[in-house]
Amino acid sequence: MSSADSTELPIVETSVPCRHLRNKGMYVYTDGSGESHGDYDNTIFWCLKTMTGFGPDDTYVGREECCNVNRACFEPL
Amino acid sequence: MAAWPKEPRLIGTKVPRLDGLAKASGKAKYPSDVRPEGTLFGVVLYSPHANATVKSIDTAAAEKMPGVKGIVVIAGQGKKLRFQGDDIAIVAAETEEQARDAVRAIKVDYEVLPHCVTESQSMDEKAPQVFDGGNVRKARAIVKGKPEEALEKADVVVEGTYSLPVITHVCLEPHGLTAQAEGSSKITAWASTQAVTVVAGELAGSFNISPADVTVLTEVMGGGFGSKFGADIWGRTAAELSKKCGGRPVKVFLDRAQEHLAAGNRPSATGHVKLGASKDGKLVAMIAETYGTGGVRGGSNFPLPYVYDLKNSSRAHAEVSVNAGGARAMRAPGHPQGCAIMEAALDDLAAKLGMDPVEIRVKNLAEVDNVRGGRQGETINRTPMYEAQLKLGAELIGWRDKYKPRGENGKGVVKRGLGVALHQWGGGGAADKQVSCTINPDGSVEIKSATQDIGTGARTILAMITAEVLGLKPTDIKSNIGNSTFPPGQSSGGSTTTPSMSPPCLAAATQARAAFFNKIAPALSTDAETLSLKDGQVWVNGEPTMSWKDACRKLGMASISETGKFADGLSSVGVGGCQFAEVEVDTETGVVRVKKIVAIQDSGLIIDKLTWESQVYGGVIGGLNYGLFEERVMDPTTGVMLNPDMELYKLAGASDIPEIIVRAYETEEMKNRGVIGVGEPPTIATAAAIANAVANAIGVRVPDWPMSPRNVLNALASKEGKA
Repeated sequence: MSSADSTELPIVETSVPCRHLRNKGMYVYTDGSGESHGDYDNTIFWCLKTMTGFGPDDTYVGREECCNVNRACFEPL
Repeated sequence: MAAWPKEPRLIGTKVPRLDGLAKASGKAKYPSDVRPEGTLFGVVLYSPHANATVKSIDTAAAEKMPGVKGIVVIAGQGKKLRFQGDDIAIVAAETEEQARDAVRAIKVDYEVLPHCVTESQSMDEKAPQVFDGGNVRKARAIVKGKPEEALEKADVVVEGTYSLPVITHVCLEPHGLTAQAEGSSKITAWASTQAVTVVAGELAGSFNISPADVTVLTEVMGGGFGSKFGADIWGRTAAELSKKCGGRPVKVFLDRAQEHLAAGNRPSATGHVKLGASKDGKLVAMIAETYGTGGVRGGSNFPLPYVYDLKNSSRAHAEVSVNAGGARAMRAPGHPQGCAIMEAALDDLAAKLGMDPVEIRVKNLAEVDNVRGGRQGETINRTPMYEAQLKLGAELIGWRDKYKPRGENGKGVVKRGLGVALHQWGGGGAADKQVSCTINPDGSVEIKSATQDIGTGARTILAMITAEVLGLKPTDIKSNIGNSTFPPGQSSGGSTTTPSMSPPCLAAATQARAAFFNKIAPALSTDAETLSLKDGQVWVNGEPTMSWKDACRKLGMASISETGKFADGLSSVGVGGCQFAEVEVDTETGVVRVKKIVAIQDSGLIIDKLTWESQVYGGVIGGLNYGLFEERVMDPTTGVMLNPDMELYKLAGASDIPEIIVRAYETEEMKNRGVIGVGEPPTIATAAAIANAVANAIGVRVPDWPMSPRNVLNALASKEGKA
């Protein structure tokens, strides 16, 4: 998305990610205990719809990026 | 409250893997061996370019090729291809050869775009964007205390840049699965995965069907190391092709080249570090600027500072994207990088101060470094554990007799050196897992759970726990895992499998034993409280009375089946360890040979000492590969990987493996903590310890891993001012 294009919708982020966002920790720490990272985040995400690191809109899949409700592929939980 | 046996008969002993003979003899069938009747073979067409757009794709000729039954296009017209190895299409045919021929017949017209495949290319201001948003993304900076001020006051400061390359996953069994669709609503998959339930869930989600209608089977599997969690695009497309081909099974497993290109890697790490200390070697501050690449996926951040107590530190990390295959979790994600950079800087500081490397490490452990103890709310200070481990390791490597200060290792061409490094990891259990235990009237015992054995010995461990409770041998237990339809089991990641699965297994066996006693007590004219199990016998009031099998017959026609759930107090989290390396370096050729490694590791209560040791050996060997050999080599000009095979992508051979001494730090206090995973921790410190040993041997830091002849000779040339 080009930042120079004034017709573009602003990025509006929610704290709730798209329901198709996946990472390993979701499957390992299923009781919510989480990885004790604290000072760093090296989580690797993928999209369930495409099973790759890019969503159906061909845009990067990530913690912040997939909270953007304006993404065409965003689906709430 | 549930508790492990105080005087176990089996737990803590060395029990060979139940499936060891089958694996060693070839009898075990891995998912990539499975070929159900009518199997079609899938082959992936992938991008030959580092950056391109598909202008057009024509599969017409391929579809008419002999044996071709179906083609699924993944990247159609207009789709971006962001790295060599990016998926374009998969062909299913009667034979693998026919599928390969058809892949070659697919006509793709590419618009080849400029690329950047190295960090330096990507960070150039004029670099093409790997994807929208910029090639360099900064992580949240972390500042503790006043590092600049503290560094100015430090008595001694070292400054260096250390770097570790991208290394790729090299599982012996490639990624993939064989999928068979039944109608539109059922799928069976034989998957090489470390998470049968995840693959089932993802296939179900992908086809919008119930997870109950997907069965994923993984009887055994040939390595995952963090890279085999999901169904992946390859698995999903196999299922789609099976649907297209009338329900015929479709097998899609990657070839070795695509394994290197697309099946995941450990990100690179480069750190510019300033580390300061007082005269007595006490660290006062660290300032680190780091970056790394996870290809098109990110994930390159890592812990730094690492292990040691630093009241003043700052850390800025940048994620660099390049047109190369994306990262996936790899055995202890982030820790080997953080460990290597921290330990190298600390070792350089010790050399500058003229301090013993072991002494400076002990001096800089936190006064209090609490990890979870055995009981709820109980903690254990890890620092005395580290101190004891360092003492033991130093004895076993012969530190006192062999250690000489850096660069004082003789005048000959071949130098010897010693190095040391510390590490830490979590490895706790997930609280929602279950195991079922069934006792049958014929005396057979079966346990079930939807976990899998990634190679750590999960099948054997569950059998040992059950046999311990029921007074049987592990071989008496049918340990049934690797099936997604079984009671919910743990995915094998984060060293969590054993600590997650052992508590519900203990509960299931204990509950089944209680139900068994209640059922047979009347037949033995006694009360259940008088019964016990030992040596394959039922004991009444401490006397052997009846064989297990005869007693089971008293069950009549009904089996006993109990499902155990996770219980607190049986597993814990938070381990530490240290490793020592002894190396020989030929200063004329730059060749490093590791002569000996000592690995000391704590991990709570050890269930099977044999598979525990195997994990530590395997971790050390993986770390040795990281330290000496592995490196993804990208060609900046063409954008392709130059070593996507097992010839030029270097790994240790048998003659490269040194003497490895493994010791468990297993005190009563540790045993009382319960079970903790050990899959990841023992691979963390090896590359760091080897690099420190090389520096000790040759008198100069080799700042770039691996410790290859080129990097060693470069460092020696730099020392002589020739670089």
